[in-house]
Amino acid sequence: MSETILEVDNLRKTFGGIVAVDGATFDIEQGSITGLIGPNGAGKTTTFNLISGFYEPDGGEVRYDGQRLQELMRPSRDEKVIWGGAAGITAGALGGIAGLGPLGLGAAPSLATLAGGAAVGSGLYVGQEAVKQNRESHKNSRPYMLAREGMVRTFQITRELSEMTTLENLMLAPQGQAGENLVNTWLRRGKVSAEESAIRERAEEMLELLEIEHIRDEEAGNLSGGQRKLLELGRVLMLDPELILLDEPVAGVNPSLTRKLMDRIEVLRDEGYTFCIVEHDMEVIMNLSDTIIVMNEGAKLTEGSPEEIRNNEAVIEAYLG
Amino acid sequence: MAVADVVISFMVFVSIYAILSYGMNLKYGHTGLLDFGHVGFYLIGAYTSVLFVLGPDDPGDFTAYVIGLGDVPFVGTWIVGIVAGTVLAGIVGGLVALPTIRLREDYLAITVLGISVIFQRIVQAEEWLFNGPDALRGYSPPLKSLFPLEMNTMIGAALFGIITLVIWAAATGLLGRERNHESRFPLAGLYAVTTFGLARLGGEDGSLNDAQVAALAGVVAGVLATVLLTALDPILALGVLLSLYTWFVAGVAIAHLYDGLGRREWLAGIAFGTGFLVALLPVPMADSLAVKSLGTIVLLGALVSAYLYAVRNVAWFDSAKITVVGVASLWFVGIWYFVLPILGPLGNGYVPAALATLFRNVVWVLKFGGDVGTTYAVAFLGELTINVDYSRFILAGFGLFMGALYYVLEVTVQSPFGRVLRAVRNDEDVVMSLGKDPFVYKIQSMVIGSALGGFAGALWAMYAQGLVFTMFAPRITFITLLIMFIGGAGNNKGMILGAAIYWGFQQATSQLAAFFPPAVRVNVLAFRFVVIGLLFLVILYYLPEGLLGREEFGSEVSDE
Amino acid sequence: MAVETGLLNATVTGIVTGSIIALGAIGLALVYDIAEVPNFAHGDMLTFGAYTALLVNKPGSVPVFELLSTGPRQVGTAGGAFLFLVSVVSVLGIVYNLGGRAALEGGWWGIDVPPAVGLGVHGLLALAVGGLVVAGVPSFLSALLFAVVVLGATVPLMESLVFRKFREKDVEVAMMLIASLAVAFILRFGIQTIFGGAIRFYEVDASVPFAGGSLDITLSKFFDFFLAGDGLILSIQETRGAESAKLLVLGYSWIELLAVVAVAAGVGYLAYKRREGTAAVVGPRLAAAFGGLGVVLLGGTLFGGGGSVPEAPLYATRVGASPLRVGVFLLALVMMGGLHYLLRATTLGKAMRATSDNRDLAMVRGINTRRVMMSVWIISGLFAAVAGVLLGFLFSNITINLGFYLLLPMFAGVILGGISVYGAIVGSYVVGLAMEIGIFAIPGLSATYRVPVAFVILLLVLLVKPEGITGGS
Repeated sequence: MSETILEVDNLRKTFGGIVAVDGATFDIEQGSITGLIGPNGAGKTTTFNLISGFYEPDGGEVRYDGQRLQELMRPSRDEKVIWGGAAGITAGALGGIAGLGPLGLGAAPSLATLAGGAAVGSGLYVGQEAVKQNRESHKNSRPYMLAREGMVRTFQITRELSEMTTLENLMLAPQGQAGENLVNTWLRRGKVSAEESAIRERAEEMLELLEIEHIRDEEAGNLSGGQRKLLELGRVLMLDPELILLDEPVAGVNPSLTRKLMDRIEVLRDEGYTFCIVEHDMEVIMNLSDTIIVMNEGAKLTEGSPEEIRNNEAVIEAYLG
Repeated sequence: MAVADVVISFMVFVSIYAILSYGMNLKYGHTGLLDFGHVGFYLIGAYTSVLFVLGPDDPGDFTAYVIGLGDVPFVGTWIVGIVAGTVLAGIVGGLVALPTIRLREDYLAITVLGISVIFQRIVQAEEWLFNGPDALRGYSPPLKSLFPLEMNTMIGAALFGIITLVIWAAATGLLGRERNHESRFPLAGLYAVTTFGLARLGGEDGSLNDAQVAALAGVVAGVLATVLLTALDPILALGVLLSLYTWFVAGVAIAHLYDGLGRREWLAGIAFGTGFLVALLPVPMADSLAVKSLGTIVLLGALVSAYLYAVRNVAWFDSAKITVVGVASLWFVGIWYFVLPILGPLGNGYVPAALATLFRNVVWVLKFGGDVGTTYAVAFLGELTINVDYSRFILAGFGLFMGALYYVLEVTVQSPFGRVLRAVRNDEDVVMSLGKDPFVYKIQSMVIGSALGGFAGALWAMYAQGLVFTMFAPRITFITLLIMFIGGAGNNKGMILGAAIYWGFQQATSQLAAFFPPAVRVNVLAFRFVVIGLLFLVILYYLPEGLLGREEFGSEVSDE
Repeated sequence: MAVETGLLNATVTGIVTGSIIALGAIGLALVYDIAEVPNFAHGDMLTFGAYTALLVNKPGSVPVFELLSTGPRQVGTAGGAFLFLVSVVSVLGIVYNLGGRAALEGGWWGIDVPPAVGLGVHGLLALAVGGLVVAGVPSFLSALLFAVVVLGATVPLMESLVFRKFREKDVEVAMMLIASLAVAFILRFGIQTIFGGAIRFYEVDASVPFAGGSLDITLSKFFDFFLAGDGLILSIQETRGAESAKLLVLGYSWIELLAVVAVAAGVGYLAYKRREGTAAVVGPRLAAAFGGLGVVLLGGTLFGGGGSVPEAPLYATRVGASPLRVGVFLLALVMMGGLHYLLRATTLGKAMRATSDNRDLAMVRGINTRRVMMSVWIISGLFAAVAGVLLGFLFSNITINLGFYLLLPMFAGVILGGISVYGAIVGSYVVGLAMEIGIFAIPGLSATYRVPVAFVILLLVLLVKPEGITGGS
């Protein structure tokens, strides 16, 4: 229970001279529900975007499961293959053309210049990537790498994939699907469709769990605000994450549905998921959270149990002032 | 030229442009990448493939090109050329995508358009590369020398077998889709026969799907045709059988399409089709240019006004407005295909000649006339000289490519990969938040879409038998976009329909333009692009989803 | 011995090319920025302008209209009446586009006037323009004026007939792009439907009376610059056929040159400092440019002592410039100045800038965004007409692809400049210079590569800054 899953250390972010996050420092415990509150403009959503990798920090760092986010967000293998390959092909083609044309080497030696060019091109890519990664000032911003590690987020304004059905939205989420690879899609149809059936089954279970089976084949763009929030939660859960960042999960959701959502989150917490929630609805956050972090003017003001926060003078002052 | 031959060249164009549009559709319709430079990959495919079949450049003559691999064994063939053109277009597509893909969609469109113009300029300026501003010629399409086919040889019979294979597979595939619908014909029984019993392998518990059954049936039919031809030489009977089978399946499909249509919708459609025919009459009939052009425009204007009036004021008409146009087009095409060609002979009282013309157009699989071929004496029709020309073979080949690629693309977009593409199109941030890198998928989409463009380019090079840089103007990209929006962005079937509508319009208007004096033909041909532009605006505004709309996804995935 | 042209000449040519691109790009950028239409039809608007001018310049060559003309370059009474009527209707149409009948009555002036006054003024203006056009047939200037008013009236129709409809459906920018492509098709092939495929050109009386003699405006003057041990010598000459006539030789010593440059820099700096922080029509940068340029011109005239062309100069280069090219540049400057004044000093301009910043906010603040939108299209049409006619004159052949060739450089300029009027001007000159200098500087690069060079520049910039030079994130 007391293990720390996320450490935020002296995080800073400015937008064109306006300081949005100014030295925020806090931890999130595994298996807990942590509420993140604060008056408008306190930097909660910016902090969220920094933690989830959507913004690059100007200073400070975040560690997830003990690893620095910047380490986690290094280029993926796919990306390296694409850029390295492209650099190789381009330089190789230039080498080949140079060999045939201006240098006039003939066919066989031109093959050698082609290969040489390709090697130089890929080498250049690998080299510049290495140099870049070793520079302290370089910031990686690859939020998808974090999701692969088990930290996922939802959006303040729901981002449903509006032209896709609810079921498709859910089926999109699972990681590392074989069918996302074209070679498998074309050549290993059996494997792909077996996996697809399994994912479909899970998605159906998720629909049931969230009690939204009736909108299974509805395009997500036609859903109500509350349904979208549920869909987003379901989509995130389909990933089997460890840490879930929820940005205003009950904004615009009717009270009975809110109740349901809260129950669901508590059940999930008891199953071992960790939640960090930004929410304006005080009642919700007070009822739900194990720990509450109060932010003001871009930094942590205080931290404590809902009881402590409720009676904290500084918090009341921040909200009133 | 018989009307059937016009239709065959039309279908060749349709297959090339459908494949070209598949590529655009994968990029824009499925992934949301607005590629205004699609023609650039078409260009790369065309020129690359030609280098593989051209003989070595003769420095003494007036043409110049960088390399001709035509004499190299194995490498210097169309198959290698097409593959190379496709692959190279795909690679270049990926390279172009790398710097541009992260741009805003409007910047992306403009920069990629610029890149396609650069490709075109390079071809134009570099004389050593592809003969500069002059046409690159001197190659011929594959197996051309064998045509018209000599049916008494093994190779002739085999090639006709291939044609049979494709036509049979296509018709059977369509029949397979129709057999489950209500019909006054025993379609299921017929299907069992035309699939040679292979249908049992498919179906509910079978291991083959309909497409595979149709392909196998085609193979069987092709082999049968080859054997029969070698043994007995019944080319006329085979041609008639094949043609009638296709007409029957087409009829069934159309009947199903307009199944629920009431009598008044039918009548309205026929009335509009006839009205259209009448409106065009001044073009061939009138002598003065003013009557030709203004008369037609006034009549067409009246027709369109009547249509719009009916859409606005008649409720049932409004709800059937697209169907009515469909029926009208069918009626119009039917009259043009079957009735107009026989009017001339009938008017002169030559009934046998009229019947012969009708027969030739019905038996579209065969070409009639010419010096080479088998001559039959048929009752009522007189002597018929039959041969199988190259355009039928090209059509079979291109049709096969179009169908096969359609199948592959359907598999692709219905898979989890296709799902990610659609998610990228909807919202990249969500895709990122779910642990998937949109960049990787966009690059793959660009590579495959561009490769499809390259493939279409190689086919075009084969068909056109000569390439000039002006063939690869940005206009081609525009036409591809138009085709995509007519059929429905995100719908592969729509690409075939869109290409058919576009080329139908092109063929019809070129025929009409032939009635104008040569001096103003440029103006007339330009005017049809004005009409196309207007049509495009109308589609974008009133039918942004296209005729077929977006494809349905998800419900059939697990059935495969 | 003739002096070779060099980098300096390419630069001068680049400035002229850049001027034409800028004239087109300004309208493109305004529409892109404020109406949010990346207008692919803009190139074809230039073509439209070029062809429209033919009605005045060579009425006998225009299909159908030729029936009214009485000779290759005479219009006759009926033709004249037609041109007059079209001009009058166009001028009134421009005003009408600004807000219907109310605009005709003076509603857009920003001050309250009786409707009759508004109608009267607009009417008189329309009659005056019509008169000017008809009186000037078939002169080039009259043709230019005619094209300008016709495009000013017709181009906004694209907005009200097409783009506004799409905007009301709240479509993505990609859809606007595609719709504008369709409009481009209609425009381009509509022109071809009427004019056919023949290549056309203007007929312009090239010699104009000038300072007592006559001056052939298309004939190049050659400015030869010689660097020698004792200073700079400038020799101006004119070549007609084989003859070469030396017009003027000016010599400057190094000290004089140094002094002029120093004073120019100083005046420029002072002017900048003095105007710093003002948002007036003449801002700091403009003031500095004016000051510096003034000093250079003044110094050049004052110190321009006689000299002789040195036998063995250290460096010699030739610049060819015809009065026409200089005129293109000056006209572009004047038009840009006018637009600058409009944007900075008028209510309409302020409304335009506010709309550009934030359309919704502008609407809330009571700005008539529809009028702003229409005025943007009108300006776009006016500039496109000038650019198209000048382009047709400079290239001396007019085809239906005339404007499309320029569309890509214009877009390159606009995107380089980050989609704003001022950015587009800078971007256009960058593109124009890059095109000409690129062709000059890279050996073996044929003129076919002009547009590619512009685009390679754009691609390189976008590689580094995906949002353009001045664009935000």
